[in-house]
Amino acid sequence: MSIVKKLQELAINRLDLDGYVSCAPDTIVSDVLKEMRGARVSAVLVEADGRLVGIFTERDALTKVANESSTWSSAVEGFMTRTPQSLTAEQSIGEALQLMNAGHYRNVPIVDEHGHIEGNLPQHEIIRFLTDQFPHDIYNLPPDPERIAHTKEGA
Amino acid sequence: MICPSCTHDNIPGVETCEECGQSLSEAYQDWGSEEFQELLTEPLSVLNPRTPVCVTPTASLAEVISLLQGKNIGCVLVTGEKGELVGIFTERDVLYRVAGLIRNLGQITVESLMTHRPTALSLSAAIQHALHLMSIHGFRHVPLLDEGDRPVGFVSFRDIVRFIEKNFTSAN
Repeated sequence: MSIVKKLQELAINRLDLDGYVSCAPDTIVSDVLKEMRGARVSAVLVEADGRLVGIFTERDALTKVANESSTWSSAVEGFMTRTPQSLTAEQSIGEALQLMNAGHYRNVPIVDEHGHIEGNLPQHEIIRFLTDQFPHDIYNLPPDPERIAHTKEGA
Repeated sequence: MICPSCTHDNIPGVETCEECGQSLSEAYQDWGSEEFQELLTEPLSVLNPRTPVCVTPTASLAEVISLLQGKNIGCVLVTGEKGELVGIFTERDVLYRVAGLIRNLGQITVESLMTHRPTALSLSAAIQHALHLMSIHGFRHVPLLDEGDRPVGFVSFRDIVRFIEKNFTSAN
């Protein structure tokens, strides 16, 4: 199957959507930030009555709260993006890619028909999917083109 | 050669996976697309990498954060006296090291919290090298350097995803 066909036909539920974190709208910002660091995620889905009501991302941490320490004890709902764009797990990976590019999103929440959260699709999962298609080329690259090495070679 | 079924790392050139017996040649025939592979061998310069925003190591976190906010960018590159790359400071660093943790942003230098000597590529490196760094190491930004290790641009996750999307999802 070609990559084009794969992107169009394979559903989002083929990807790992489980590595997400959610919180209630009244969770305070500093707790949300702590949770993001602990779980190593770049976004938190905000959930009320089991439904997706907002998203708070790394970008929000930078633009809305990083240099405003007075916000750290406020509820996250004041800083989240309300009713973010979402997709269902049955939609195609290609659709997710398009939505991410059109909206400059790095995370797309995945919900069911009632708006209940089923997962989160981070952009990194898409990169992983694409590189998985070409394990030989991508995984076995020589290190030469890197300009700066992390560690020196041993003797 | 990583087996697509069990992810066992095989010696390059073997025809079947040593771990699970999966035929590797068939697997790649099915998974691969020459067109896609060719595209990934193109140089990073075809992505029209964005001009980097550079700061000196003594710039304060307050200055750097206001640059990241005002210029709507995800990273700044930190350069030394000769303009050479010495570090990178990204949005992720803001989450992990600053937001909710540090109040006196004006008194802390970017040097103390940046990632020192980040992995970088040249403009002529293939797209797949950047994709590799992003996939394996989770880097979101890869600085691009000239012969003197001076930054000439950077590519982000988004640049590559956009390039892939442009070339593949609209076709057919």
